[in-house]
Amino acid sequence: MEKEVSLSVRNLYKSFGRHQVIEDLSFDLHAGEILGFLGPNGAGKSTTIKLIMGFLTLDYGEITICGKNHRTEYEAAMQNIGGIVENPEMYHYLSGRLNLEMYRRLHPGVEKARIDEVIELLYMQKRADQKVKSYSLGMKQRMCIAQALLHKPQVLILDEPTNGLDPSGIRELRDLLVKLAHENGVAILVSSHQLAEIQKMCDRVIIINQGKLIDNQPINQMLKQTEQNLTLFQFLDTTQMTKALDLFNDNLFYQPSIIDQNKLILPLEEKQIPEVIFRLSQAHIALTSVQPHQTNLEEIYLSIIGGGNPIE
Amino acid sequence: MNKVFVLLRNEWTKISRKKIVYIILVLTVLGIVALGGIFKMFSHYSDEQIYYSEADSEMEDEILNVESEISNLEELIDNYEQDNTPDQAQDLANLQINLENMQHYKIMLELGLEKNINIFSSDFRRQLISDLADLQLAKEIKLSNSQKANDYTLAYEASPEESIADEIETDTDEASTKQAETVRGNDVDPSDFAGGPDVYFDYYSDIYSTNYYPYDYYLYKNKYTDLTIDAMELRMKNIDRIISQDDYAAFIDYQIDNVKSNQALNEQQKDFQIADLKLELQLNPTGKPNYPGKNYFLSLQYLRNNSFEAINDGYVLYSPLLPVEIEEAKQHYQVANYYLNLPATNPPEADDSICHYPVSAISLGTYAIICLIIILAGSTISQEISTGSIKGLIIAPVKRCKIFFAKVLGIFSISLIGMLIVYLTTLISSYIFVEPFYRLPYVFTTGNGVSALEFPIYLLLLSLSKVSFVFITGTIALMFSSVTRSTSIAVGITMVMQFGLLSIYNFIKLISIRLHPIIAFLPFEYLDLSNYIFPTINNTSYSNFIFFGSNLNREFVLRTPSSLPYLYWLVMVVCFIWIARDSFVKNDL
Repeated sequence: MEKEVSLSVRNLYKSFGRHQVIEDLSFDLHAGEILGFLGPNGAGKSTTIKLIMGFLTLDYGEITICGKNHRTEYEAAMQNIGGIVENPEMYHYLSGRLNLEMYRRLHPGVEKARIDEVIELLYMQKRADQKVKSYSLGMKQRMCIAQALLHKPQVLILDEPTNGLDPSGIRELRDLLVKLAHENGVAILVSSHQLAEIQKMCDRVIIINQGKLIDNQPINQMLKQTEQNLTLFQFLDTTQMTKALDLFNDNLFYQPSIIDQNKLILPLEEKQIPEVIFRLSQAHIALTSVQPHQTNLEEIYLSIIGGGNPIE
Repeated sequence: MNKVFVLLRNEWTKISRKKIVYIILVLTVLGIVALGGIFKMFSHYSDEQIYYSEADSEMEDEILNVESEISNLEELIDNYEQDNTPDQAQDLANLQINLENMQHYKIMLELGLEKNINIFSSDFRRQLISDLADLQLAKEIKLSNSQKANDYTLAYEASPEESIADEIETDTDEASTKQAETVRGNDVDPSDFAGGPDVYFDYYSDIYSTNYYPYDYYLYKNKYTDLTIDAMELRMKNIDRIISQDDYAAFIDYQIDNVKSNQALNEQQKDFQIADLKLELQLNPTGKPNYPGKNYFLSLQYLRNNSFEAINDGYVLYSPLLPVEIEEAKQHYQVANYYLNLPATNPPEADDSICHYPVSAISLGTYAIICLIIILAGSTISQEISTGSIKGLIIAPVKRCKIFFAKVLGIFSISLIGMLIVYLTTLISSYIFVEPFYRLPYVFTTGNGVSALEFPIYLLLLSLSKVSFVFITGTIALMFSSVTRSTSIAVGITMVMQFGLLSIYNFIKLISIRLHPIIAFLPFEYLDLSNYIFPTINNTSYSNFIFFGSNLNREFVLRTPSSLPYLYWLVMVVCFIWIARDSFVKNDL
């Protein structure tokens, strides 16, 4: 059964002067889903998020948040959304707690006790009463996430949420987001260049480039499509690998992909592996390891986007 | 609307955590108190008598000079009389007048030496010496039955003024040149002029009467010539008696008698002047040249008398008053009269400059609060955008226009509270530094007469009316902050507009005032509504809007309806807020 649509983006257009930044962008975000929002620098990710969050005005298109139209029912629509945009920023001359308190006042119905809850959730109890200007980047990030969660929004928009977090913080955040989505039914849009993290936490990924939607599918499906029997060969050094490449080029049957100075991947059936090892040993090429290879999101992303866009 | 107040509360939270707010408020309070101390220091009344000259030898020297002048004049007159021609009548009349002036002056000097009263000093009896000299000269003329002077005088008065003036200024006739050179004698240097600076000024102000002697001939000539010899002697005896008594009360009585017998004054004017003399005796029983509150009372008396004359005559400086100016004169008259009729049971002890302290302190405080509001309003939008803290507001479920209006309300409330702090500080320090006499009420005219606001109420309302100026300055800073999104530009431009342009404005007015009043209209200068709500006694709302009216440039006052300043202020506020709102709400962040 199709889940309820929490955020609907339809035919979005936005330009800055003559530069068309977003062009006919449409996608949905469902309740309980974590959606990865990917794209190279300048693809329009932050612009899209700013349009959803009300920082920018739409040229054309429609955004609906929990059934409320962004343009005609702005306050009702924004009641259901929380998030962080670009860098974590708050009033630096106020304490983290006071920042949260000011934000709480703007959301009727949110109790004061909720401030302590979110502070505890993000492990900021010890620093909450200190001024924000004394925080590290990671602390600011935690506090901004706490602010985004304060009013228990149905839609969370997170732009680079792991920015500045330490490895344990990243893991805690990931667990938190997964719990929020899968247990509380919160719809989460995460924009990040940390593709490994995206792969670990997201249910679905959309990729945009030059303001247009390139790909939109569940992450499992995306990985499955590219699933082949790949074998990773690691050589002693670059010279040995060059020799191996010469060998493989003589035989068109092999289509190696170089992934490092001394590593390459060959799509091979299991029974072909001993033959390749035999040929390499015949040619006196020093091989250090042979192992099966699993495709990841980064490779898929790079295969779709290529080398990225030259920044305009 | 509820959300606007929540946002306003947030604005207050932010403002209350900024150090600059407390720094400026503390400096404001200290500045107001310090100003009180400075005013107190400079308004301290000093009992030192100010003499123009104390040396009797100066009078003796002056007699020698005067005698020499008299002999020169007599010789000249003799020469003229020998070849008496009709066209020389005016010159002769002038010389005769000069001669009589010199004689009068000589009598004064002699009487001063005789009665041991330095006529160049500030001794109140020098006035009596002058009157005595008037009488003595009038008596001598009468006794000698000399009709010469009268004849000459009649000829002088009959001649057209212009021709006399032309003659004095441009005559190249040899005889006239010679006469001028002879009469003037040595050039007079103001610094060593025996009569002191005031007399020196009078000397140059009257080109018709004399070349040297500073007194106006007609003053004494017409004052006593109608009296009989007996009446003159009676008066002289009376003056002698007062001089010998050296009693200021008797001198005041003498002056009251003079007022009563002065035919040139009407009953109302006589009442004023008698009351003024009695008040002076009350405040200054020993007749010192200076006493506490002298300038205060004199300026009010001056205003009342001038206004009274303007109402009665309908003229000022020989030009007819406009109906609106007569109305102003009536207001001035009523206000001055009210102040003068306040009971002087508690006479002042300090100089009157202290009575300007409360209003000066409010003005100082206003400019300090303006600095604060410029900094706060100039950064309220731009700083939030540049630091990114605006994100927390934009993500919240409130429309941008509500965020904006909460900021406007924040500026207004800071203006209000800042001015209330200024008010309280000024009130307390006024009670510390200003003696009760100078804690004056504000007096204004109503349809039926005059009303007064008690001192604390007046200060409160004045402070509140200054909020108009502080607030509109805040909206200007807010506009620049929103449009430029740069705190430094917004604060810089608004500071220059408020503090730097005034001098440029005044310069523009200086050069353009004679062209047309509208040229002097400069858009950001008329935004302090307190000027129109509480006009000072010399600047009513009629003459204040374009520039301060005065007798010197009355014809250039662009008179506008009294409601126009308020309308203008409102339009400007709406414009500033509208531009700021439009820029904040419609533009991308």
